[in-house]
Amino acid sequence: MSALLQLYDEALPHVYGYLVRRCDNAVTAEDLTAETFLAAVSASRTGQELNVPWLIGTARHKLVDHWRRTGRNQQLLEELWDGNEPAADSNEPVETMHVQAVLTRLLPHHRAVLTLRYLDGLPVDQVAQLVDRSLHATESLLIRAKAAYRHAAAELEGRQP
Amino acid sequence: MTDAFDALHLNPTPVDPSPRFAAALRDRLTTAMETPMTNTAPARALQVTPYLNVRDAAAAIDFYVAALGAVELHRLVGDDGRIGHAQLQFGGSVIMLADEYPEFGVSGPESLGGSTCSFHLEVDNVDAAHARALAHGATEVRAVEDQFHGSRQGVVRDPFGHRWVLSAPTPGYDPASYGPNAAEMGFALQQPAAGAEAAAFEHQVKHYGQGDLYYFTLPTSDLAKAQAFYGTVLGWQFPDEGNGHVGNISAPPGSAFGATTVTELYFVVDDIEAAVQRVRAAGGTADDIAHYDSGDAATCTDDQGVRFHLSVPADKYRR
Repeated sequence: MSALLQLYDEALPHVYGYLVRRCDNAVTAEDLTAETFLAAVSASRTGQELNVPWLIGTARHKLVDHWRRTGRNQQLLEELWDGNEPAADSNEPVETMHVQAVLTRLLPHHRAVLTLRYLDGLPVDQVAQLVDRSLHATESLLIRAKAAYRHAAAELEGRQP
Repeated sequence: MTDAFDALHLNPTPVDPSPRFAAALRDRLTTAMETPMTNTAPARALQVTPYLNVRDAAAAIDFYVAALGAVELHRLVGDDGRIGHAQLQFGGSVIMLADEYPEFGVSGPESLGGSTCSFHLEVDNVDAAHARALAHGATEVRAVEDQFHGSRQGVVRDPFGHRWVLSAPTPGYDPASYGPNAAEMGFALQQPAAGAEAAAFEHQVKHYGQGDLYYFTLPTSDLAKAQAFYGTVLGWQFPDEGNGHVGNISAPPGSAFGATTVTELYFVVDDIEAAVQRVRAAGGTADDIAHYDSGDAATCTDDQGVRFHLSVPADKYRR
């Protein structure tokens, strides 16, 4: 059996587990899982060393691409009307029981930066690189995304934000 | 400073997908590994693909991947170590490249002392792309600036001598100002006369073949509303606001919003009578063949009751 198939059998639950806990639905998670492993087939031809961390990194790129595709128009709109500096986040505890339900209600690029920064725990400069924005723009976006998260969480709980 | 959102952190937790998905993807990977990696979409007639010649193609591939976001599809490495051919995917397009082969008259910009063409690369964020290219060793030719023609652009020369224009549309640009802006810069906008263009394209159009989608109609009760919706969602343009035909998609040639209650699909056939006979023989039904200005057509249902149409487009629609 080829090394790649061996890696597939071992890594599939890791890759799928990473994606399914960050996607709206299992179908999207399956699509992105497939894209990730197909990318691995191409990469293996170029002598790239493949392992679980490489696959998770690739899955993360696929996730960002997915959000970019779904969010392009909304982002443009937001950038048009929202040039203001947002206020800083508070230290109030945030909703952690229904994270995906809250994230699903957010704009894709808000969801993207929150996922990368907090669910994945990446430093801001890496988040900026992944979403292809400047550090400053990413920091502002994170603050807006946090406000949107708090707002959506409050709405979900049925009380006024 | 503590961040309340740190509470969202997820520790890696493996999750098994459905066994059916796992098995299907395993099959797909097996097939993919057995399939030689080429640009799988067949090249269409008159499709142009840039073919770059560079000194040190391997280093160039690394640069295009890291600095410009390309994805390597494959390379052919010769027994002398030179790359005889490689393909890189840039978004929806492919660029091919190879090492220098002076014995065949193939040389890169460094050997020639300059390059004769530039590559125009659309990016999401020009400033970020420009900075990234420079960080990977490109030389700045022109700093990033909004241009009169409606794009924000920066120009770099890559370490192998090729010139890249990094470009994105300027938000809020009014296309109507293209000509006037050009005039201000000392350029007169000239275009072929209407009609001449259509004639010039005649030999370039894709010809329909049996089984192609030829035409479709979408059900709507409010044409203007549908045009606004599909114009926004798909970028469709409607040259004649009265009939709903779409003017800017490659195939089918036109589409309309009919007063039907369902979506209607029209497929091309070579011989309408033979096709109608095949429909009936296969268990479907077919209405009598109708002869329209646009060609011959028959409304059919398949053997499960789904309605569709067969068409032999008239010559004037056969593009």
